[in-house]
Amino acid sequence: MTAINLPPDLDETLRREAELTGTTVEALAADWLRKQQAALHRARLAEQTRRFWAKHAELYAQYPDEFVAFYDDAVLDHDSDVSQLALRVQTEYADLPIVIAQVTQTPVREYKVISTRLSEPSS
Amino acid sequence: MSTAFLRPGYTPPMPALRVRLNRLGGAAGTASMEAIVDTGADMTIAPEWMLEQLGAIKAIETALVTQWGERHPVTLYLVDIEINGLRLPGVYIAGDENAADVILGRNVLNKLPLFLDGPEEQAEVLDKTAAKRLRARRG
Repeated sequence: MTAINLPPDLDETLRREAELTGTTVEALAADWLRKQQAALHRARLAEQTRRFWAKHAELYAQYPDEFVAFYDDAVLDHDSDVSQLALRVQTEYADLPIVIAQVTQTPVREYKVISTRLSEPSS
Repeated sequence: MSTAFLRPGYTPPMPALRVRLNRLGGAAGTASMEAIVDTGADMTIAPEWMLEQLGAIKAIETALVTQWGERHPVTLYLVDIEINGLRLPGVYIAGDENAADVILGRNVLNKLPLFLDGPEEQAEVLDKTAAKRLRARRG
């Protein structure tokens, strides 16, 4: 466990918010830190994803239809089996924001969801 | 084994299959639950908290796009999926923080011989014999 000293304004904010939401300072701080960590990881993975697409043509020439583990413009590992690759990557690189994707001839950058549902007209 | 279409909250009734999401390699899994069958979705979608709780591996950032062009950023996770006892390893699933249900999109559905029995409101993954018989009928 790590004990940290907060600046008075943050300490006060945390105490007030904990009181307002009926939780403890420790639980609230842990919740905020987890959310911040998740947002940070997501932003980093988005940056790695951008780099992956920028290199896509080059990657396809070298690893056609294979799954690659891609980080900082380099392929760390590759395999035709995505499960084997992902499990190796998790063991070796733990929390690094590594892109694990198939290098297909036609890049798929987004996915369509065309299903719609009936709803009451809004007033 | 067939699964009844979902009725409460869905008009007309919604085809569904029983699924379990497992961490890659099968170390841990969710409880068995009903998942919506949605042939209009390219990608399978699950509530993000469910995938996080499972410890699913994050694979890439992407987006889901509606037919009206609304773009919703999501993370793709890798999981194993069990559908009616059939195990599909290494499947990409979009984690959506707004989703309440698991939605089976075509990245999963296209791997299955499915029988949607509308009048009886039952969905079923056909066994090999039944699928073979129906394929033979096509000539």
